[in-house]
Amino acid sequence: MLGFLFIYLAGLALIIWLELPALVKQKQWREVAAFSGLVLIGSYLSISMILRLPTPNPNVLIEAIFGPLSKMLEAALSGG
Amino acid sequence: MKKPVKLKFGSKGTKVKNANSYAQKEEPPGEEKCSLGLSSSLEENLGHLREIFAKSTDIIFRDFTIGRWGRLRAAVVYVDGLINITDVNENLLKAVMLEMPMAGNDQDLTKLDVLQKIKDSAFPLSQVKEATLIEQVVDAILSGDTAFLLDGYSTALLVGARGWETRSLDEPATESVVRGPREGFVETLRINTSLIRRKIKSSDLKIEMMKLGRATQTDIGIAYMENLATQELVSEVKKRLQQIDTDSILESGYLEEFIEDNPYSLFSQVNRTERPDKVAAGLLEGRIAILVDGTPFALIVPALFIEFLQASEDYYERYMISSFVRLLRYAAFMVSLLLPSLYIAITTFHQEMLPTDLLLSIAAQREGVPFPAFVEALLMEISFEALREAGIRLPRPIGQAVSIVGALVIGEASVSAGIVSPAMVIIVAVTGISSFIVPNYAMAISMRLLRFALMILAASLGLFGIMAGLIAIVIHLATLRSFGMPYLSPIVPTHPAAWKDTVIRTPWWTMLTRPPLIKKGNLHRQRPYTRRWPGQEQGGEANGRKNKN
Amino acid sequence: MLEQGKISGRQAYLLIINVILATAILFVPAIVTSAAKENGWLAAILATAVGVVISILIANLGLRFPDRNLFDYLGDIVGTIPGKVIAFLYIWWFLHMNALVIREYGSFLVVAFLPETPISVFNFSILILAGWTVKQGLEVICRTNEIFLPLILVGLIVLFLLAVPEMDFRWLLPIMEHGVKPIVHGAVIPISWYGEIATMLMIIPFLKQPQNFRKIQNLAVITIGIFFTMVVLGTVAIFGPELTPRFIFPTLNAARIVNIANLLERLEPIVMAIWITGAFIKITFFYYVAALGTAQFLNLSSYRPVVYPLGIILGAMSILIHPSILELEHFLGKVWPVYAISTFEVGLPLLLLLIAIIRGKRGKT
Repeated sequence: MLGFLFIYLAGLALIIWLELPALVKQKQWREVAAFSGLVLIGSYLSISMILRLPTPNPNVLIEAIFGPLSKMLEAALSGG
Repeated sequence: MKKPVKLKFGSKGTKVKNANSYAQKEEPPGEEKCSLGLSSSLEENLGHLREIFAKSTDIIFRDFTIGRWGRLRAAVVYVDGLINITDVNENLLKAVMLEMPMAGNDQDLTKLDVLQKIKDSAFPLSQVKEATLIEQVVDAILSGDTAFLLDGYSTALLVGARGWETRSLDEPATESVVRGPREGFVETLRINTSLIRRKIKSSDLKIEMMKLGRATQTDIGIAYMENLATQELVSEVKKRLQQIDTDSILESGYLEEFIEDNPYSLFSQVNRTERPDKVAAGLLEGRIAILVDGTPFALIVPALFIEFLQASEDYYERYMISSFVRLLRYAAFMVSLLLPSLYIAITTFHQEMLPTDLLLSIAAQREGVPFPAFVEALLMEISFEALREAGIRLPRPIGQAVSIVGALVIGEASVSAGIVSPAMVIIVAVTGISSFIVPNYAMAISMRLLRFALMILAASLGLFGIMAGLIAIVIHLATLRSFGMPYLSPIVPTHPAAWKDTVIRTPWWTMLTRPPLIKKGNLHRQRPYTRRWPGQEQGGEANGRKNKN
Repeated sequence: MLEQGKISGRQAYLLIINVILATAILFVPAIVTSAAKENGWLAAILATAVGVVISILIANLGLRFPDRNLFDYLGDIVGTIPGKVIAFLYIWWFLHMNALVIREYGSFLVVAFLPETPISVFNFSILILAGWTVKQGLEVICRTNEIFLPLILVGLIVLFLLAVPEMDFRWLLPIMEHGVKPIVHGAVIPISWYGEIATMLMIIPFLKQPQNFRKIQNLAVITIGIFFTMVVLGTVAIFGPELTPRFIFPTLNAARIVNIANLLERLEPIVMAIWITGAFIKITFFYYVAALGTAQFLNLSSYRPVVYPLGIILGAMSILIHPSILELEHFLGKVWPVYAISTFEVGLPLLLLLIAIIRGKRGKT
């Protein structure tokens, strides 16, 4: 698990090294902010994936909304 | 006697705009050249030149007098070995020392503009230029011209009586053909341009010259057809060349790296050739050739991926044979790129894909082999590459011996010693032969490197790794451009009109238009009814009709 | 515009085909036959017909604003704030859909070819490649597709022809024994695949001639329909209506069964090559659309800075979102079609089109 974490951090460092200096040099702060924000979200997800922490899964919500609809459709189509 | 002006190269003298084309190039900072004018005193001029050429023993100074009573003093300066000594003796020295005085008397010599007279009527040589700057004189002398200086005139005559040892026209060693012209370029730019001119006798063929390299002052020729090459392309090439600021251009390979679109790519985006016919064909498709003095290799831009798999002989041999050979070449290209990695992937990860009999036979062969397939393949491929390299650099007879020892003895011995399996030897041999089929050395090299990358991918991820590698290669090729032209065209972006000369080659009389990739008005290569004579009515008519629409 | 490149009509046509066909071609026989049984091919045709309707809807919405893409005119149609909300939902959908495709991609490779390799190896290696490609721009994606897709289509046709000796067309009878309902049922999931052409709303302005888009898209949908029908017919004729739905990848099993005179056998590498390249381009395209959308959403000057961060999110999502392949199957089969069709593929575009018509919003034509 730690091995995966290490690989992830190395990859992250590489991405930051590839992207960030150019953006900072061109003073594109909006892009820097977007980049950093997305990296943070990605890191949260990846690290909880690697360490197997519980994460909120939007699929639960989607299934709660669309599951019944789907069942209705299924019932309508398979009956008969 | 006047005091000679102390003269130093590199000192900041007054900079005079030079009329020569190459002098328009921006001078590198801190290395401003001396552009002092010539003085009217021969003594002084020779003093400057002697100082500039101090310790250069190959520069010959010869001063003498003109006229019956020796009133006018003159001198010639040249580099020994770069001039045609007969020309200089017979047509230059003899003309002014012996024949001039016979033609008139000394009165003429003092009254008239003697230099103009000499230029106009004394030298029976076709190339005579005037120069007023020391720098021009020095450059001309170093390029092989003979400088003629006359006392009392601040103008020197530069007489073109060049002549040096050159290699005779040979068959190009790297691009030999079964059918086709057997002459190749040599190391002298002038001879090379004459070879092209002999192929294309059209006033539209332009050959512009420039000099590159601060120390080498290498002559560069930019050849193109004015009616075919687009103006943007020509100026783009010139722009890229003019931005080069380096000490030396010793081979066209220097230029290639300076002007490539993507210098980090494995693939060469500039075509190189030793063949005048190939250059001529390129020019007639609207491309631009860059010729470099001192090397037989000319560059052709833009270059497309597919052209690296084509040979000029494809166009000379009968079209069916050429088409077959092309198909064979593409197959060989794929084999030499993929075969070792496929072998690794299948024997390591996907044994189930082999028919059972074959699998058993390979397994039996590999039984005693102590290495995994990847190490085995890497070992053999590297020793094969080493053998090839050894064979190239050695003198030819020894080179052959090396190949024989390597291929037969080492191959045989390593199999019987159980280090590699016989199947692996077959794979490496087939790969090797296939890679020789690729006609262009640059492409063959990139392919060899990619083969190793694919082998590593195959060993780690199996067929998936190979596919991922291939996808990456294709994407890279799709991003490449050569002087603005997509590298993979005409495959993508698709130009079906150009496919007549891509995968196969259709007969010449069907290729009515030039490749549409290089756009400029006159696309038609020939009239549509080329083959219309009695008995051929039908084909000709059909062609004619097709073209009218 | 954040994208400078222009794509030709041919490239757009091939791109649409790949985006829908590349992944679906492996599942389609199992999906349609599970409900429609021996009439699966009719379900495929029905789905294609509905696909044409969706295609017309998408083209009508997109071509009202031929010089701008969905995220550009969203605000014009529904107002800034609702526009941002819808844009955010679409970004979520692009990412979600892509995460599912990546997951399927990895699962297929693990199940079918390299059972001992962890799935994240495939997911992340393909994302690295895809991220690099996305950074090169839409033109490169389209050119790559222009090389691979014809090979994929030829591969499918060759596979089908080689499998003909194994086929028994009596499996396809009787026709419509149980009426229309099973056929409609079988068509639901393929319709949700056709709905993925909604992603084209993001790239219509990058076409050289947007006005041809309607024709191109319909033609592409019909081409896909032909291939779907062909594959369904082929697999059902080989395995029968009972066995086909039991496979996860019936097309792969069909390729395994081909054996011409003991000489030409084990053709599954063809299927694998189709899958790896086709799905790769599909992943890359959705990835591109998500990156472009994110950049437009955040008003960035270029989409390139967000490419790699989005890749991290995609990679994590592809693993996290479904703990097991069974759950993935369940979600894809039961929830996804309704979810996707009712909101992103038909619902929102239809709503936007209606509002645009009512409010008389229209771009330059």
